[in-house]
Amino acid sequence: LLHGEGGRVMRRFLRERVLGRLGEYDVQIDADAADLGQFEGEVAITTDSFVVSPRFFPGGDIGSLCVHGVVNDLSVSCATPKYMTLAIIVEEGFAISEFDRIVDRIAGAAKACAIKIVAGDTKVVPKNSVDGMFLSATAVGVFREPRLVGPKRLKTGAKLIVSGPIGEHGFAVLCARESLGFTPAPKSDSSPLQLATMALHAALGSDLFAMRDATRGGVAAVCHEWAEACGNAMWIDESQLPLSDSARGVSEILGLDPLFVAGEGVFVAAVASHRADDALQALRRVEISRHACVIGEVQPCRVSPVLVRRGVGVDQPLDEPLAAMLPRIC
Amino acid sequence: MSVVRTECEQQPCRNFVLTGLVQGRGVRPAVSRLAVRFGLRGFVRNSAEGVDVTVTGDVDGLTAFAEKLGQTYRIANAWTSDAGEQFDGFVIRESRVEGSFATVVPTDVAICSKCIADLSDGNSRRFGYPFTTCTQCGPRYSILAAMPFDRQRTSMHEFAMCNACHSEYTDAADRRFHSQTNCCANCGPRCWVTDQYDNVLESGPGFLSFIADAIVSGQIVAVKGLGGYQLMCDATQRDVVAELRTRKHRARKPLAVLVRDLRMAVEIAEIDSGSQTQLSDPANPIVIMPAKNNGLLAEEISPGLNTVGVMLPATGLHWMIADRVARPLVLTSANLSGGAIVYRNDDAMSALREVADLWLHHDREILRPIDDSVVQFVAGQCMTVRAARGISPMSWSRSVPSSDTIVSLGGHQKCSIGIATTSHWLLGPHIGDLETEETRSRFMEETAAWQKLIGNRVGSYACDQHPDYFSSMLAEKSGQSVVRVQHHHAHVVSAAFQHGLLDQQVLGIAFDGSGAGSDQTIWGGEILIASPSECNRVGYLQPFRLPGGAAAIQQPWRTALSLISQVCDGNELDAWIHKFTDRLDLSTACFMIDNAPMTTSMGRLFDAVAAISLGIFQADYEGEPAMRLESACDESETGSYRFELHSGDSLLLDWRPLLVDLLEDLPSLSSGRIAMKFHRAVANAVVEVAGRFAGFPAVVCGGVFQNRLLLKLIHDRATALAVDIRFPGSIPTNDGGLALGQLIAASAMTPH
Ligand SMILES: [Fe+3]
Ligand SMILES: [Mg+2]
Ligand SMILES: [Zn+2]
Ligand SMILES: [Zn+2]
Repeated sequence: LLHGEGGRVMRRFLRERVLGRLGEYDVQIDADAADLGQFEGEVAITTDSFVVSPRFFPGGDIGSLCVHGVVNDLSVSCATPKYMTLAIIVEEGFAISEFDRIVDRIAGAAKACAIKIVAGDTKVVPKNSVDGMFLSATAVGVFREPRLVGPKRLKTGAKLIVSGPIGEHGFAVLCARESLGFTPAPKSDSSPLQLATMALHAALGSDLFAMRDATRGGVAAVCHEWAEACGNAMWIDESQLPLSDSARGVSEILGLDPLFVAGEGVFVAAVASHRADDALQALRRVEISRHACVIGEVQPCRVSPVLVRRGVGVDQPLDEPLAAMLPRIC
Repeated sequence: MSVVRTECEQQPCRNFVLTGLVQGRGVRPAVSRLAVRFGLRGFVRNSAEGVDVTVTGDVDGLTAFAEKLGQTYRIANAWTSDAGEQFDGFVIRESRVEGSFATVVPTDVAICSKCIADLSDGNSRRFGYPFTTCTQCGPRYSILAAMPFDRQRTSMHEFAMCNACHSEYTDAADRRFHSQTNCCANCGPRCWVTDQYDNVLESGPGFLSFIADAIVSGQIVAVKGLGGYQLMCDATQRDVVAELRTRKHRARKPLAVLVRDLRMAVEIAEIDSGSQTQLSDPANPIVIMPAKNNGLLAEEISPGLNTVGVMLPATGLHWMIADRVARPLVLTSANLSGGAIVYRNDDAMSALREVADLWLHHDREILRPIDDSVVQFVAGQCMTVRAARGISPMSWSRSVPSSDTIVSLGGHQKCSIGIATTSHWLLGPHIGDLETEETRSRFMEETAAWQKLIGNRVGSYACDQHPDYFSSMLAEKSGQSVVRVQHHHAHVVSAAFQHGLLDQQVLGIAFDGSGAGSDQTIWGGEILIASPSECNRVGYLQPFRLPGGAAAIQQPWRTALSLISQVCDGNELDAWIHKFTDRLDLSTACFMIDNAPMTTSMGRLFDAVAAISLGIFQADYEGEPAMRLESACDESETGSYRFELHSGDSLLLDWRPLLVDLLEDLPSLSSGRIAMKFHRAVANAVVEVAGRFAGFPAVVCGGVFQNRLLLKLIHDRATALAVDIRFPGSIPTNDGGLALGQLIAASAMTPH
């Protein structure tokens, strides 16, 4: 790809490379703005950027990750994804074949998620201005009833559920980026959470209090956010955390706590304690959340906002480091 | 009447304020006896400042009295005044509660020999009474609600004295004259035995044989002691000790042993005179001594170590059980690994359900939970490893009274808090590692309770520079001004204070596990020139990386790998990786090392050497590899490895040549000899560094210097080369002493 080409070349490129591949969707590149028509219900909107390196990793790629990212943000808010926009910033000299592959992945993921890409933009920037390719997406959806009460009003006793194995994406990307030889090699869990969140919401209704995808900062970040929002403590039983063999292997060897590692197809839910079993039943019927389990509960806060019951039966505070991890005891 | 008044006018009153450890030690009864002996009238009472004495009488009597008083106590203040009132005789008065705090908070005192005699004498009315005390012994700090120390401000206030006890209390000739904890079987605390369902199994005098039989038959008993519940079991039965370890989730960390008396102590440990003094001290610490390898104790007591921690009975209850069982007993704080000590009757059952078979409760409330203290006697000096029951709170009067009042919060491990009042430095008891919710909550409670006891208004906080220490975050949240003191600076100031060197710069050799450095790396092998207000890093251990961060503590092979990667080529490194783990390849190992935090930690260097030479790949507790390395040393080895000392801008202690030699020795030399050569290398380096900065008095500090052998080697070499190096003493040299260093440094750094 060459930088700075406008006019016909770029238009042709976009038409052939991007629109062609996003083909069956209603991409309105010629209009200044897309007409989304009327919405039935309240509208949700979210936006996110994607800069993952490497762009292809076991279990996923930057393209599908971009679609899943915005779809999941809507899903955990109990909004049905409808439309999205897409901006591609690509470095001069980027291989066209890879560009094509990524656009294909975007198209495939959008199709699978039943979300329409309604506007887009592509910029080619000088070498070294970006690391290969950055994507940015905005998505809108429609809230389903009943709306979640949200983390602000989380009461003690509520059960915390995680929809599947944690930390899969972070470990996979790390190992791919640094060519770390682990067997089994960790695989990203990048996938849409629409079905799982819908199933849970349908089963529990207003007994589902809050959901959040455990992306950057992992389950720990979700817990800290919720604890801060409601003033109660999030208590997690380490022995209940679903963890794949590969993630366990990497985390033990590298000394990384999987609670802090990102997943891209996993979310945390807080539900009424008497509905925990119903929640698990609903979740386990959906493929992506078949390993869902209760990992803890909301407790009154004594000292620390997030606690983990570790192996020997002692509650350890899960502190968020100020910035980079500077181990306290080593 | 008028005659008396005239006499008063002719004979003015002499007034004294006694300070120091003057409450809870029978000082008022003693002063009272002294006054009566010289025919004086007046009164004595406890106050916030210590003990007030006012006397009047004839001139000779007053002079003799003042002289005797000065010989026995520290007189902080003395003056003459007119008697505002007349005195009929000499009395012990109600304490004066107001005033600013200046006196020393009394520490718990182990049962004295006279009280042991009382409770083992069939003719004594205290025969078999486990809570027997007198003015010279008994609980103090642990039952204290508020100062001054008087019965009504302790948990003894619930027990009204019977007539017999009261007449002792009021009889100036009695050993229990004005004993605040005086009681007997008729009026004092009682104990009873329960099972795990809280069924009372025994509540009479039969409790003793019940407990003793249970212990001999291999059961684990939770006993409510002075500072909290303790777990007790037979120390001679291997399977019992192993079972205790399993239930407590404490794989190898050494357990303390309770013995009836010195005679029994001699059977299990090599006791020198210094250790013997410590053992018999009223503070009643656990004393670490060389273990006698005679198979008397279960191996599981201190696995892999050549030392054993021994203590004598703290109370009549402990004495009676030790006497009846007549064998050494394991005695360890009742908590789960890493948790805070359990001390409330209501909590004991649920908290210890998985651990104990039986519970021995009593009904005297513990108001201030406190662990057992640990000391050792090394190179002619007693050093505190853990300052707690009997030793803490520690206090020193400030040489210059100051207006700044500071609370210091210590570090992250072995936490204790410090308080600077206008007149004193105080160091509170060991609380624990702030790694669990329990210890954090205990830490906050104690911080509040302590300040309340002292009556201190916080002017400012002092804390560590580490941004993620819980203690530092607490200080930040306080809203008060905060002085952050670098970890090793605090260590050095604490050591300088120990040796009275605050008025000058000292050379501080601070070797420990870790502390945040001022360059965003982890320090722990530091050579500093410091005064309370300033600190210059003039040297350090050659830096290396800690793969896996905190995981490197649990798995010392990680550090070993990092060190080896600096002196070996790829093939050799690969061979080591396979030795350490089967889950790591060379490139992953290199990635891991390259991205790990940087450190200069001497503690971790010990870990790595233990991993390489002894094959210790997994540590159960911090310091285990180093302690086992010390225990493994073959002292007949006279050789030494060598740190290269590169002097540039800073002095660099380069361990790489040492490691090369060590790896070369590995196939041919025993691990004991290798360990010994390593210890000598560290000792020699310390003495050489001190020699290079001979213009400054040298102090060593930090957890690494709890190593008995290392201190002995340094001592011998320093003596031979006439280099002046000061060793740790009563103030813990590990992070338990940080709070004190922080106080003094913070005070010096704050403009007044
Ligand atoms: Fe330290
Ligand atoms: Mg997102
Ligand atoms: Zn006594
Ligand atoms: Zn009595």
